[in-house]
Amino acid sequence: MFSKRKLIYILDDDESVCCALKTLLLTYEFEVMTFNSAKGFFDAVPMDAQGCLVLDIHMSGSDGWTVQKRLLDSGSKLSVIFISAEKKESAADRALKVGAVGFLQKPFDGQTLVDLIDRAVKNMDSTIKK
Amino acid sequence: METKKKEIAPGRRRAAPKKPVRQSAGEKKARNNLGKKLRRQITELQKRDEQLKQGADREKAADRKIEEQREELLHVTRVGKLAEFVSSLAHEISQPLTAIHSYAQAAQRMLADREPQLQEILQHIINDNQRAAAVILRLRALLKKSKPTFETLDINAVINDTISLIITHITVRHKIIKCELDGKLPPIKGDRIQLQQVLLNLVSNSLEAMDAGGADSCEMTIKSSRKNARTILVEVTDSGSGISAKNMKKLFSHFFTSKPDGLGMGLSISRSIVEAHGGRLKARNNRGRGATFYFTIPTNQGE
Repeated sequence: MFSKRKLIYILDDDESVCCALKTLLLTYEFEVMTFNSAKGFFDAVPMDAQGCLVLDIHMSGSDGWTVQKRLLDSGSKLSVIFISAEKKESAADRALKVGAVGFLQKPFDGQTLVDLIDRAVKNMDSTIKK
Repeated sequence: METKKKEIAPGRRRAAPKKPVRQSAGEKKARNNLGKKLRRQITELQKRDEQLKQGADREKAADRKIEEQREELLHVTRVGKLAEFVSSLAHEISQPLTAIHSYAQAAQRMLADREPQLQEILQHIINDNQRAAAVILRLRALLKKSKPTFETLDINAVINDTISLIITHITVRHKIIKCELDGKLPPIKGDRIQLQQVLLNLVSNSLEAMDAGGADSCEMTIKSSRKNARTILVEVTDSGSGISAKNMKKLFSHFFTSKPDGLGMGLSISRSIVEAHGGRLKARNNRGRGATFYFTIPTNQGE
């Protein structure tokens, strides 16, 4: 049976952040997949996947910016929400410039994340309808 | 040069004869000439000596300058290292805080309207989590390498503003703060907030030193004065426990603290703020009791 629940991908090299965000998003009835590395994510998720990616910026190996660039280059339709524990004023601007739906500074309120996801999903739906 | 030396040596010997000797006119003339030559040479030597002394002084001053620059560099490096360290620390702590926050919110949602007591506990977890996050934000703001915004300031106004911020804190501790402000000070160029931060740090350190100093140490003084034409001096004097010789050396080092719950950053940050203003922050023990922290700040004249 095709699930109507929205699919959220979480890519963060911190296991406990992944697990906690998943637990939280599950209570909002999202379907959630988590990845600890860019490689794990690209190996598992096809380029034409739809949904929303919660993407950590500061990761060992490929960082969030590199992942986003690769997604853009491959024409991916995923909506990206950047999250970061690092405090850089420029990060939020840069996130929007590279086409992300939003940027959240860790630790953030769960509802704020969900609102952003909802907004991303609505955008997606309206593009598909067009 | 060779001949001159030969002339000086016998000349000296002849200049102090034990017995008067009869001299011919020719000899007299020769002696006079010799005397003139000697005097000239003595003056010349004195001049050279003076020049050498001045050269040595210049060299010393240059050495001092190099030493100061080296210290400055070390300091800048330390501040940079500290900022780096705090930044990675903040990152590492933010990760579990994010997880804790999300878990607690998830649990709240799972409980929905059930278990009000558990809900309340979860809310406490969330609130305290936010408190921890706020501490990290403040820490980051403190070390942010933001360039100070310099404006023309009256240092006495800055001191008064700072006192009004902390006066309640002082009175509830049954302490007295005295002001001896020189009303004729020229303006300075500085960052109001940063200078307040320095003064607050010095005043609260003094208060803590007086707490440790016992019941009869309860008075502190803030004094502003003119050190010289281009420098203003601000002194914060307390009647507290003073500074031990051991602590005096490390006073301004990062992470050095004599307080059980201190971070050891107040004075090192204060010093880098004062130095960014072109001044110096130092400490000394008073003759009687307590210690004085004092900093200089250049006046805004001639700019």
